Amino acid sequence: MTRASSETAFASRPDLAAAFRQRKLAYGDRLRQLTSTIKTALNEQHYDEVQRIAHRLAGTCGLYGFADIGSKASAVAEAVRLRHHDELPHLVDSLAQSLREVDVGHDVDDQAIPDNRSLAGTT
Amino acid sequence: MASMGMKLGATPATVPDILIADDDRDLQSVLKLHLTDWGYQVRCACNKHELLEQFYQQQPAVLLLDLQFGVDDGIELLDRLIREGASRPIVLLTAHGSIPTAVKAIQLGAFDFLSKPPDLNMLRKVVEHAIESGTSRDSVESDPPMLVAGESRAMRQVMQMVDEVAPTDAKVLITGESGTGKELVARAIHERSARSARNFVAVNMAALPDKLAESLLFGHERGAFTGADRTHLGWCETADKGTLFLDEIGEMDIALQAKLLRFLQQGAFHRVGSSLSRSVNVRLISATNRDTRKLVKDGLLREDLFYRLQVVEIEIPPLRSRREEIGPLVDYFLARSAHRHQKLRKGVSPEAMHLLEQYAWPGNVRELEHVVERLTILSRGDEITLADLPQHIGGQLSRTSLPSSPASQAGQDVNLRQMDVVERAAILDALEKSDGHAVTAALMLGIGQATLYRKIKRYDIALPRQRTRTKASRVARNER
Repeated sequence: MTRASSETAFASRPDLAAAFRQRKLAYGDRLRQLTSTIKTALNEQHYDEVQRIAHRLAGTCGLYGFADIGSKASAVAEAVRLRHHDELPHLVDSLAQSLREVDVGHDVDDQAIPDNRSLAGTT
Repeated sequence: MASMGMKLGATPATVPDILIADDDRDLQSVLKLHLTDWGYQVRCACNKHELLEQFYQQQPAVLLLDLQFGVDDGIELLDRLIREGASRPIVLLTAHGSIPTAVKAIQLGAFDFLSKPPDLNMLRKVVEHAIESGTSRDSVESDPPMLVAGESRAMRQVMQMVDEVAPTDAKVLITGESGTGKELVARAIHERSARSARNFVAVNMAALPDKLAESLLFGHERGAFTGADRTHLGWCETADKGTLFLDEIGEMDIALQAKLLRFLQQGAFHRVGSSLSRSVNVRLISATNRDTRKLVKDGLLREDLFYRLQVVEIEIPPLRSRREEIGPLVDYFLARSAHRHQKLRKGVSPEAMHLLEQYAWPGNVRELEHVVERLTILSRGDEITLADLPQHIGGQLSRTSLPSSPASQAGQDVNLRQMDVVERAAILDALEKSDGHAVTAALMLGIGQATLYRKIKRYDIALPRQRTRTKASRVARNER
């Protein structure tokens, strides 16, 4: 089955495409910031926090084109839920590495970002 | 023609609005862009207070509700909204796509269930379907779907029967292939009846787990079984003085059929866990896409129930037998999808229209609608030409042009059985690959979850136990 992706969407709405690029850029920044957050949470054995972060990433990353991070986050969330704490250091390391290296692509064009008010129906 | 319910050329009065209830603003943000791109107005709620305020004040066309909505449990919120009489379809979003949660959500009254991150094609289909179907508890639609074009003699006869039977309380059995619009005919009967101001409750029997179907239909008392922590009204009571539509009646458990028969004979029923006999005034309409006489012969449908249900039978002909309606339907769907997607209404070249009129349309009107919508979105230029049409429509032409002989008909039966085998194998494979997650399996198969549950039941597939550890272990192994 072919999965539609945000990357290829908005063909007829350049304003939405630009807004998506803007949001992906900001999301990428937030993902990078999570690298240390999730590792700290694991080191301090705050498993609920690890679960919360991973759960959220698992549900959202794919829509921004970061399916790989979403899969890794899903594995982390599942391991916490099943109390497989022995698997967590490796899984979180792998996730953290992907977060650190997140690439929002080279097509982000800040000049093309429209005023949000022009996005009919999105306010 | 207008009196027969034709809505040719009608366009929605307003753009449907979607309410996203999710505390993850990043998710809200990207979903909002896609839904806007698809032509919807979008609102967001970040907490329960905002959700309840917007849901009741704005009455969105569809609510997308996160299962883990901040500190609140989406299932509890869903239950509350349904108990308070929510009149709009609610679609659950969750990262925990497990069968028990999905079943519970559907039992409570959710329209559908999507795992996060939602597949965009699936999300779009579900939202469209939700808007067109309204909800099982809602008889009022701001954008009623088109019933029929009414250009053919066969459909004029159908609509004549609808007009004749609507003012009566006669039970109606609607038959026809998938996608012909059986529920729309049922709604048309309801809307033309004296019951139109009351509820039209539509229930798909194939989507109901056998063990819970009775309590969902007839309700249950508090303490009737484990987890029944409050009294629950069944759909029969919800439909009191209105219409109860039981779709896919042939899928109903045989034991439940006996209780339905008693209900039809006596107008009385018991809630599960109660000895008190209750009575309601419900008009029953049922439907099936299967051969009812064969269902009776095979012992899948009680004969006495069949005759109770089939006081009046309305058969909706497949689209391929009323090709004169394809042109008007294409016109209607072009206008509607152009409005929905904020695009110019396109024309169709004579050659392309000829192909559309010759194609067999195995998915009937629903398939035609989806094809036209895709053409509206994807084709370039002001006119849809041969080059824009999907290959399978062109490829189908030569096959449908050939007259079918008895021999080729027999061959088709064999092919249908072979297709069942292939379909069952595909479902088993998807369930295996998805570790038993029905939601994931449905996505892999490109079908809705309700459809998957129906097919699981039809093919008597035992659901494998979910091997939740496997996924974490597999990712870990791959990383090493």
